[in-house]
Amino acid sequence: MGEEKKYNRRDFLATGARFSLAFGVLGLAGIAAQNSRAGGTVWQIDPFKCTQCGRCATDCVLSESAVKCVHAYDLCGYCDLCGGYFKPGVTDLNTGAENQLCPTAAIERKFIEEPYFEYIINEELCIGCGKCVKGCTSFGNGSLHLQIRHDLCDNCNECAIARVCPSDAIRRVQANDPYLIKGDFTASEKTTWTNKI
Amino acid sequence: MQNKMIKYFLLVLAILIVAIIATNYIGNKPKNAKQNPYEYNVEEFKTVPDSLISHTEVRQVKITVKQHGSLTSFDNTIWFSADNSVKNLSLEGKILADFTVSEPVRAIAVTSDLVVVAYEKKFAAYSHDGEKAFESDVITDSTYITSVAFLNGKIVIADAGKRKIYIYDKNLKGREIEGISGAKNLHGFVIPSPYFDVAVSASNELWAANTGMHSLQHYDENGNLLDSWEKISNNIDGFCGCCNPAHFALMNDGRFVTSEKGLTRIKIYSRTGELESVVAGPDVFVEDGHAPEVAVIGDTVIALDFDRKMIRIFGKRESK
Ligand code: SF4
Ligand code: SF4
Ligand code: SF4
Repeated sequence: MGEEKKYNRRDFLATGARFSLAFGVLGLAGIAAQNSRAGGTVWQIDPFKCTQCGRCATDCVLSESAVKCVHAYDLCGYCDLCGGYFKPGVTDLNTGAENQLCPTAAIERKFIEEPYFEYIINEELCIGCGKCVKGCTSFGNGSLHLQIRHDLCDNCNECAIARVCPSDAIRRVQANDPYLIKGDFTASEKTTWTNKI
Repeated sequence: MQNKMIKYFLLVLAILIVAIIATNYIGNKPKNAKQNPYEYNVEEFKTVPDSLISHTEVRQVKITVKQHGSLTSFDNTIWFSADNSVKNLSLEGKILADFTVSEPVRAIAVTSDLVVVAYEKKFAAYSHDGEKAFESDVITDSTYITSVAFLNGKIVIADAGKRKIYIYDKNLKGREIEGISGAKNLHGFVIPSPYFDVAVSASNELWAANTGMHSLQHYDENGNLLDSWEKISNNIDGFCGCCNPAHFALMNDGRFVTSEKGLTRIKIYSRTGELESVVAGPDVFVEDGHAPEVAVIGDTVIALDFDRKMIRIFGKRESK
């Protein structure tokens, strides 16, 4: 209990979550930078264009898609009723398998403090199907979104998913800045938000 | 003979290769996409039974706006602000007043003698003719103002960046409300994205949309919670997502006109939070568009549709 008091919501939102995402992204950026030649480009999904058609799960050349769901914690409401976690119409908000939207149970729901819940993606289980992204985008803030993970991606000359993407959402980006992560609306990169208010 | 055989063989092989490439190419065209095995159909949540629809669109007023603005009503007219401009319009769309201000406006509130416009981090007051009366200092560096209202001659500011409400008196001395009441089910303002609206009723009640909790909350000037209701549901009678209702306005009798993002829709709730009707469902707005800011004149609901760049006026349906 004492632990919980020390680790209050605002601290959590303001620092912990932000840093966890930042470290995660920086780590991945590091791996990506190693994988790519300096000055090169890699494939990435523009989360504002993606329409969650399911082809990221089915059309990657790898047997396990290089596309995974990532979570922009800064945008998340830490909601009890998460549109990305729960199937629609669920009345009893518990973690029962029958209530979960994700086909592989790749999202962990963790109680933080009343009324906040954190949603963590287990990337080993995530197949990049975008179902949770659709739920989060339709009912929530769109904090869940798909990204090509560069620790997995082969950086094919022509990305097999980009070729079939109906939304033209996949494009080449600089290898030293390989992620298009949705941002924090109070931070300087809030351009991601200004088009939403 | 052998040469001929080889030629035929190569020809058949070439046709086969072309056929395979063509099939592959056509099959991979986005429009020929196979059935999505992970389809999540949210369409059913976008349909609203006709029996619930209480309003019909009676007028559209085209506007020029680059950044999302704000609108409110006063004295049966519309006050609309966007970018650096403030306009007073009749319900027919006739311009009654028009002036410019120093920064892009994010929120507007009007009384009989003042027009208060909120910028991102501070606010200013003008006369109805556009003469500047005063301007506040920057509230804080992380302030992100999303709404402004008047309460007993004081200016109420909703700050989504700090997740606080400020109430300023005439001398611009402020008091903060954090929405923490000590009650078991209240946890301060939960504002995950910049949607944090406040409004004051005809009987001077200050209401705030605690959007992360899908709740409307009534506070007194000292920050004491007097009343609240919440409706969490994916269905039409509730609010879903992280930040709804994104905007709201109060009718003269204290009922709520709410505007939601995600599934963009405008609804009317009773004073105690029962859904009464739907003014406009998701089908009349751009998919995944912005939640329209709303204002009310009598039974008429006015919506600022940023995606379509117009002010849309919804009148009560005759038959209802
Ligand atoms: S193929 Fe395109 S639209 Fe479909 S899930 Fe992938 S990025 Fe999104
Ligand atoms: S719903 Fe699909 S994209 Fe989302 S976490 Fe589960 S497997 Fe990954
Ligand atoms: S570039 Fe290749 S490996 Fe990477 S996501 Fe596209 S198809 Fe998969």
